[in-house]
Amino acid sequence: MINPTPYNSTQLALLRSENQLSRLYLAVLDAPQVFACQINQDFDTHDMVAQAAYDNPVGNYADVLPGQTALIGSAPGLADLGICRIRKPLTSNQLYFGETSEIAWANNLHVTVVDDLALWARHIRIVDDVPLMDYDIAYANQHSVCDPVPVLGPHAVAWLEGGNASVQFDAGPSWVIGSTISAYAWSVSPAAGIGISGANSATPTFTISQPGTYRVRCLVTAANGASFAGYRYIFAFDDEHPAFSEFALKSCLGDDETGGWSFKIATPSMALAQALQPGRLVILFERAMYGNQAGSVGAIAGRENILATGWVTGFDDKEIDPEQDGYTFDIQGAHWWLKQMPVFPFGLELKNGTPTNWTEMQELTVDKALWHLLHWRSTATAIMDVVLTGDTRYAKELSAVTGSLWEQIETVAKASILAQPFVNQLGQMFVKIPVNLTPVASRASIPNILDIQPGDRAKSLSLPRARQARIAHLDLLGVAVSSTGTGSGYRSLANGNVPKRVGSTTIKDHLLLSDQGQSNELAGLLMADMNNPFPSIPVRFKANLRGFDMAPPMTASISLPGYTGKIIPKRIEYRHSATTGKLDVDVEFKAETTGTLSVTGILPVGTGIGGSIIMPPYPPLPPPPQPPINQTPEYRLKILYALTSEHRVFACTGLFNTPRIWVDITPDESVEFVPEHFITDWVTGAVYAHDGKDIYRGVPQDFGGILVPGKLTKWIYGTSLSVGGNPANNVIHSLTINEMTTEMVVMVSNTGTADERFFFVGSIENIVNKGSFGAYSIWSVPMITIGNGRIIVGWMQSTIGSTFRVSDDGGSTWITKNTTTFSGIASHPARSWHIRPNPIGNDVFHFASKGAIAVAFSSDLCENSAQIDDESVALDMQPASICADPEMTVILGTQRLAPWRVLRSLNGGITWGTTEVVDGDKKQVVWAGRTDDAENIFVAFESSNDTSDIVFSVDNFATETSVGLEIAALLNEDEYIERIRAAV
Amino acid sequence: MIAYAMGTTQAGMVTLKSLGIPDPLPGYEPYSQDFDQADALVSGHGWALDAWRWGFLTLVQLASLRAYCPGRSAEVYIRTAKDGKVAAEFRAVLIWQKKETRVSGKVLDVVLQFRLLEELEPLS
Repeated sequence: MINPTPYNSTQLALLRSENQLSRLYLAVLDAPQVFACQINQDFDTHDMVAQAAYDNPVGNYADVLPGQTALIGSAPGLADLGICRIRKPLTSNQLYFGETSEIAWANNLHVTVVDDLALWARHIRIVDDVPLMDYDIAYANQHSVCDPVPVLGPHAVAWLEGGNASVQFDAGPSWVIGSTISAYAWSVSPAAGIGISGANSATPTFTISQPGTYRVRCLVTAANGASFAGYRYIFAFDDEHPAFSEFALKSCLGDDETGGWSFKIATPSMALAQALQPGRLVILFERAMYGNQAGSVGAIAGRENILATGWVTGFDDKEIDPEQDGYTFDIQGAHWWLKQMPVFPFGLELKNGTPTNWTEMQELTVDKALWHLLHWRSTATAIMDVVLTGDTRYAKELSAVTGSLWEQIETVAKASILAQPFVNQLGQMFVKIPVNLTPVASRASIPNILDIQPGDRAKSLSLPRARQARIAHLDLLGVAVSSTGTGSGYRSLANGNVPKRVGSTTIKDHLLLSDQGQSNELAGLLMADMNNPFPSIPVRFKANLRGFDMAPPMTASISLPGYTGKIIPKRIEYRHSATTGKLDVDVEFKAETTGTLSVTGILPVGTGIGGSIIMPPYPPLPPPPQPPINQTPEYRLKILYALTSEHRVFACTGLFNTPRIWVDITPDESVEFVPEHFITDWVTGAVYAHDGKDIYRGVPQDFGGILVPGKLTKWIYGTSLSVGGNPANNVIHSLTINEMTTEMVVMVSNTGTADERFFFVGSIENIVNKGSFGAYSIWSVPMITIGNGRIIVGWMQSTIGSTFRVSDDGGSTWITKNTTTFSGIASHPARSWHIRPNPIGNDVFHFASKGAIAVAFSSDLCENSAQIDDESVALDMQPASICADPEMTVILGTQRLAPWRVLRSLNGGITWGTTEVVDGDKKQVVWAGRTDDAENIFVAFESSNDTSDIVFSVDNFATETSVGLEIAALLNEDEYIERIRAAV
Repeated sequence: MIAYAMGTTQAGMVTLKSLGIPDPLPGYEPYSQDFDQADALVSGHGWALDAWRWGFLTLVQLASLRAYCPGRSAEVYIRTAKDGKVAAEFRAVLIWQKKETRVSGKVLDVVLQFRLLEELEPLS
């Protein structure tokens, strides 16, 4: 009862007959009282109330269903204080309702529960950082043993002919994530006047012998053991108990742009006006004639008589129709109501394993996220058919900020797979991938409802044609995510690298893709749809033809001067003439498109000065994070970069997943990078390196929480950093990036200008020559670091002494700190050129040695003093072999002399724990941080001419785990890992 | 001859002649709305219409008809001329005219509009 079928010959004969007329009616839900009581407690506050004690019950509290509506009033039956939703079964003295702050609760208020199952948001509540659904539902296994979704068919309206009528439902399309439907159990209330056959089948028949309103319930059970009930209403009338007809239809339309249907009526009838209370379910239906044949010809069997479904938003007493002299009422579909419902932020992340809380989902897809939204954050799945995309692309995470439920649904569906929600005229919600974005090979299942003949439509038809392309160039970027959460980025260009002659350029990014082929096809489909030459084909039909809707996807075919082919409905309007009874049907279509040329694009990796590759602009960098205030930031590994001895660069975004995918981001040209300056920033996760001549950068792209490494490309040409002399002779001596701000510091000299170094500070957009750093001789590569805004440059002047300079004004002025006289470490002056400051604090660790090697520590960024913490550990470390986590709570070092050891200090280096490393050599610690499960974890690598590996350990290398198998397989013979760096 | 008749039920219809009312000039139309098709044909839709016209009726004659439609409109049963010659019975909505021109105890140009005509099988 969800898929329309093409009109058959019998239906076509009716649709093409003369003398068609339609009489319109309204079915309005006048929900009967189920239970009543009075509040029996006082309240400290009206805020966030979710339950209350009651007394003086009227009726059986066990008859109350979760989802029914409770009227809160000052007298029995009134709702003058508000309404709320019953959220779980009542007890003999407690009411449980959706958390609310809009009712002034007080003792002795009257509560009337009516049998109205409406659309509500179900709010999340956080208690001690633990999310609870609908106030108090804790996570158990709801994301692994999922509730089924009852898809029963729409509400029904029957007109008893000869004393009875029959109505069918079809629960066959019901679905459940990760399981199958195993059982159906139907019931109806009230039981009198209606009978059921096939109560335990998917397709029961209800035989109605008395007019009235019946609530149908179907408990759908899945093979996983979960069950969930859906509810629909049957409205039954006869000639003696007719539906409301004393009204004029002012408008009735569905629009792909708005996401659903709405209609407006005017009535002089006070009885109808009083029935149309805000929030009441209303169905607009007809009794039609096609020639001498009574009945309706629609899309869905048994529901052909329904024109539109919605809930009353209110009446407009300012809009009085002069002819009808009545009130105008606006009835809107579920899309409108979902747009009015503010909800708290929502987010799900892919869990590689069984989910353990409300924010996790194994093999996360868009459909799973939408199911969570519609099932756990609203009552939609209980009261209306919900049919999702069927798309199986995985997502690393899907989230939406505070907004309306509809906005969150759109955010999840549109931004990731270009799907869009729509609630059709029967009140069924579909989240659909538009026909024109569906691969052509997959369109065979989309029904072609009608081959429109000239006799089916009005003579006049304007066919506006888009003469020029609207989009000249489409840049489509996205990521294919594996079931474990690893990702591969893809980029496609339509039509190619060169834009069309006219039109604008547009970027569609952060999409979920399958592979490069699918990416290219989607780019072509999207480009063709945006440049649709026939974006509007308005057709006025002769017939009372209501088989078209914007969902589920469907087409018609037509032959017009200038266009012959399939067309897709995008807007439908029904207009009813009260003087003739004719229902005019106007449908605006657009032409089907089948794609256009596209090519594979190079993943964006940045542009260099003078670069020739055309790349889309980068999004602006996020602002620097604020210093932590009473809050511990969580730094987690984003990307691990590896530089090999053959100057190849690899990147891995899922080091702790299986399988690990290493992406080769080596520049296209031959480059010999300086290993000591292979660095990253923590804002963008980019990697930087230089070869003494130019600076290269690789910027990852964020696709919905998944980082895709970017290829290293020439970012700053050394020749552009003017220091005098022939720019071709410029030499880059050192490079660093402030991890927290991406500010860059470069030390440059020119071989023609003696041994003088110049400092450049800034960014690619505005890099400033801060002047000469002076001439000096060095025994080592100078190391530059930035700590809390202070630039620190260290270098080794001789085998017995090193010097460092600090600048607090961005490199304009410098203060020299000679380690031979520096307080606290004068006895260990050597090898202090390697410095590791805390980028957000004032702590600095560096080496100090004179004979024995130790780690020195300064708590004031080497302003006044430093101290030798523990000489006894006798570290013999190479540059970059000391590491501290971003909060400097854990520092790590490795000892290069046998026995190979990794050392860890938890107290700033005062004492060290050591662990002997058995295998490999050159084991180097590069990062300390936290994994997603908040365990401290340390990454190191070992390499030699024979083996390369990357390992991590969570126990100070008492045990270690190899994660380097995949990259080792990529290395050539005699190639080994030279450096690894982490972006956190 | 067609025995024009009206009633609140099909069985209860009485002839106009029995009410002392002369036969009206009928105006049956099988369609109330034309549709110009793209194939140049015209199709007729909407409910059938009828209208009974008299040059004048006396106030007494008009009052006897008004009994069937005290308000602006009412559902009635009529026997009228279909296609100008054939008698047929219908359920219909009678719409009373808005304005009356009264001259010397007569009402001029009386027109009773019928819409939503549903043809019925004669009862006997």
